[in-house]
Amino acid sequence: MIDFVGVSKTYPNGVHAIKNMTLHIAEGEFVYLIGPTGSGKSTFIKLIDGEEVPDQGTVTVVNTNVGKLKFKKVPYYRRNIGVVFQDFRLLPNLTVFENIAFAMEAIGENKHDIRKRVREVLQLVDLEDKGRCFPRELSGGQQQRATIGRAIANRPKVLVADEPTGNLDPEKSSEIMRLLERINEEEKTTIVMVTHDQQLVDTFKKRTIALEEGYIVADMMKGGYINHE
Amino acid sequence: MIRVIKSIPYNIKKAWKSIIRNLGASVSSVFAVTITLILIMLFAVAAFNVSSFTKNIETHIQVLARVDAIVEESQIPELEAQLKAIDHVVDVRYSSASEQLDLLIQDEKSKGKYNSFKNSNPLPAAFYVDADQGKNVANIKKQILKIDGIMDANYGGDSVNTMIKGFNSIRLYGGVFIGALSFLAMFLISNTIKINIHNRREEIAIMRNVGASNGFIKAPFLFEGIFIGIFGSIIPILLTIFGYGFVYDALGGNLLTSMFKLLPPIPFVLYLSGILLVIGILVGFIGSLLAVNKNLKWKR
Ligand SMILES: Nc1ncnc2c1ncn2[C@@H]1O[C@H](COP(=O)(O)OP(=O)(O)OP(=O)(O)O)[C@@H](O)[C@H]1O
Ligand SMILES: [Mg+2]
Repeated sequence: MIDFVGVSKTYPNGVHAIKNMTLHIAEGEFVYLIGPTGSGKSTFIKLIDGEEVPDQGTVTVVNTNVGKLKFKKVPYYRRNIGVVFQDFRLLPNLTVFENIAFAMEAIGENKHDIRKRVREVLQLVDLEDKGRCFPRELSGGQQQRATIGRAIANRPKVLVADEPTGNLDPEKSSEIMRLLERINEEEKTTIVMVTHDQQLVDTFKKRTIALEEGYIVADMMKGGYINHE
Repeated sequence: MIRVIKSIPYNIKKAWKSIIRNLGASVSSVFAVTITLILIMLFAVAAFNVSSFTKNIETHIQVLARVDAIVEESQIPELEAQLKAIDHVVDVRYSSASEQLDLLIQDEKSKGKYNSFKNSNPLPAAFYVDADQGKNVANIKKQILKIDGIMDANYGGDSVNTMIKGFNSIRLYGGVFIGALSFLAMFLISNTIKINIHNRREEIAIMRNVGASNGFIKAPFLFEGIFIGIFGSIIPILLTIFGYGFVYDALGGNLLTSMFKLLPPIPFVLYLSGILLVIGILVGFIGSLLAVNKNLKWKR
């Protein structure tokens, strides 16, 4: 599903964010990406969703060579990728329902399908009774669930989440984890999640990729090490 | 195609919201379009009327061919036949020497000072030669001069030419001026749209994240530009329709003399209104297109 082959990314300011990285993430996998600040985690996510292009190597996601995509083609590719951020990024003047519907309107879905799917999604993220609320009327955990709802509304094959629990207390974080696990199982969505939360990684055991200064320093399957040379 | 049509209400709604949200910049853009179009309108009124004046003058153009003093009365019919034989001549009228003098005496400006010439008329007889079209007059004059017994030939071509030349230079400078104004209006619209794009960065970023196509993101801004163009053309169009009719009636359909007939308001004002609307829309569309193409690419 996601393949990095010899990928390097250097920003215009000369920072080498990702260095000669090769890895494979299979369809339906749930993977943590951990590492100290500045180790290249967000850059990794941006290479997957096509926001950044590698200057060496190839990133292949859902059979698409992401780095070679023309500007005009990026949107169509990106419909395969759901993105969740630490800071939610809900539109403040739209209700929860409208925020999720927005993602589907933006790709030109028809009204009927949108209504049906948004109800379904609201149920999945456990916000059925909050559809009419504005983001400011929700708790942090609820806002994050709304964002996840928006990210999966278009049934992406891959969901990338950059510290989705970064702003939440442990209880809310576990709630989000359980939701992501459900999405991973029920919708067969491949998930890559960036996190700093050691407790979470220990509690919900998954394949864990550790980055340091742009290199993969460990790739562990549920606690056990995978040799990665 | 169906999708494009279906998306029109959505885009109109978005564009409208955006205009309201950023009313100050929108109003100033509308204002710029209004000023530009009013100037274009005034210019067009002048241009179309002058070109119709010159056409009127040209269609009545006439050469005055004066006869040599040695020519006998009996030779006049033969001369007349020769003149009529020239290409593009539609009419020839003989005017005797005494008639020429009478005309001169009757001319108000002479104030009777030629009365004393009645006994010994120094003026030659003449022919009025009518050309079919203004553009043939110069050539007709040449042909006339070749005929024996003709002293000279003249037409009012010089004053017409001066007028056309004068207007051509007005057209040039006016055109440059209006072009510059159109650019200014486009620039203002482009800037307004730029501000609006900036205000909606967050929303656009989310649209990008969920895979909205570039066209989908651009469309509301293009509609907004077109709206500004349409709003900007309202006042100029009203001015055209009511103002031109008013001026036309006030002047009695002529400018100074009956030689300069103004274009009748219908259908002229309708054409002109259509032209103004199209220019307004184009200026708005191009202005927003410039902004959109430059400012929507900050994020892949
Ligand atoms: N747009 C950019 N332009 C220039 N340098 C950048 C850009 N984005 C990131 N970097 C640099 O690249 C390196 C990796 O950044 P990245 O954001 O991927 O780290 P991270 O692992 O996500 O860190 P954090 O845990 O703090 O979010 C850092 O040194 C950062 O300063
Ligand atoms: Mg980061």
